Amino acid sequence: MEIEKRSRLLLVMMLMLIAPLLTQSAKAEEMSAEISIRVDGLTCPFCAYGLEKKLKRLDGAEKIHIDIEKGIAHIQVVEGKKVEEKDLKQAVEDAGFTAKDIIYGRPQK
Amino acid sequence: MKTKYRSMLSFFTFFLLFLSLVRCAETKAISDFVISWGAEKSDRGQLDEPFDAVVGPKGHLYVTDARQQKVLKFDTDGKFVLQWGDAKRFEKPTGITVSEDGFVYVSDYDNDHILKFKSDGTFIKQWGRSGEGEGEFDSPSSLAVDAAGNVYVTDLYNHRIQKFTSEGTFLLSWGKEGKVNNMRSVLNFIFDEGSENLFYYPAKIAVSPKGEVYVSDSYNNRVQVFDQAGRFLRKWGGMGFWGGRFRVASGIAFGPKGHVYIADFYNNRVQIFNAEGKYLDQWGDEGTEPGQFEGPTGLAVDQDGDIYVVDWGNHRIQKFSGNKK
Repeated sequence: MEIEKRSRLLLVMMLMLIAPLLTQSAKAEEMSAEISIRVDGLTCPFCAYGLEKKLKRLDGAEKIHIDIEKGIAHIQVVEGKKVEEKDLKQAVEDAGFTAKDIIYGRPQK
Repeated sequence: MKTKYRSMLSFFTFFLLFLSLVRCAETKAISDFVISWGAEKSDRGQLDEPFDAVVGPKGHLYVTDARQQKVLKFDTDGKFVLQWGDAKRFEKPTGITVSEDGFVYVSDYDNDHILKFKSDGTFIKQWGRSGEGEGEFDSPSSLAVDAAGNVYVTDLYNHRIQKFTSEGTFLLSWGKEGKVNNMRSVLNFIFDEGSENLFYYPAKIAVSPKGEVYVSDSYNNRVQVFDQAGRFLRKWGGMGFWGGRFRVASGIAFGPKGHVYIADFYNNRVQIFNAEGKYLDQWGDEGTEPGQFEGPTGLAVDQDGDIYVVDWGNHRIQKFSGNKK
């Protein structure tokens, strides 16, 4: 009985420790000012311009920069707005690509 | 026995694939480089992302700059004449063409419409909107005009060509989405890949002096030729590195001797064909030196037969003498 109590207490404590981290991560997704998407095959203007156009039309996307050399699309998000991951993926797919990674915030160099 | 045949067939297929991937050691034509401009810092005539170019009836070269949202006009020595456009006029100007009577047409890739100007940049009209219907576009990347003044537009993401009168009245469209399998494209010199009238991101278009409509079926790595009613005439190309093959066919222009020039984006070269598609010659490779390219997107030829290459990744125009080409 004592062991069960202790386990529950331990579980609650662990949850309390993890919860702020989870919230932070969710907040980073929701409120991130910049999103970066790694996309394969981004080397010519015919298609890179297409990706730029489709991303630009997303609600909440303010400014798009396509780094063709690195194959990354950078999206600056309107303050207080959230761009849904499924919408990002759909826009990339509509442009004829597949989103490899979606990074909230500036990617590590 | 069956296994033996199967392994022989596999070997043969891989051998052909290997051949297609190895760039043949061809003697390259020495590019008769004349001049380049646009890359140097300047308030007048600097280029950021030049996309397309055309020579007008008075010999001026008009260039679209997709990033600067401008059309720039030069003389044939690269001397800046004038420019027009800003973020209000264009979102992303890409294709450009000039009619025989001097009107300039520009396609706006992001705004999905066509704009018509006088040769001094005075705005006349625009037509088109986003969509898939008649007169609607999803990224009009390039346009061309025939002798009667009709305008042909590559509707990139709708994988089709649309034809309009000079006033923007819709006349007809042709083509639909169809990707040629890469293996079939590589091996099309053995088995014809078919798929005529199908396009996979047709990025560039031009009307020849004979009035035929040439389309760079860019991601099918080939050129398709049509009459003005959109009836298929012939095609050539296929994925590959050697002469006559493409890795994303882009700009098209015509020389006075009947030559057809096609820019080959990933192979960083310009190829020369006759009107039937017979490969004749090529020049260029990857780099920043004169005669080298970083993704050629557009081509134009002037009245003397000199050739202008829009060297997109090097932010410049390069001019080559057409005398030997």
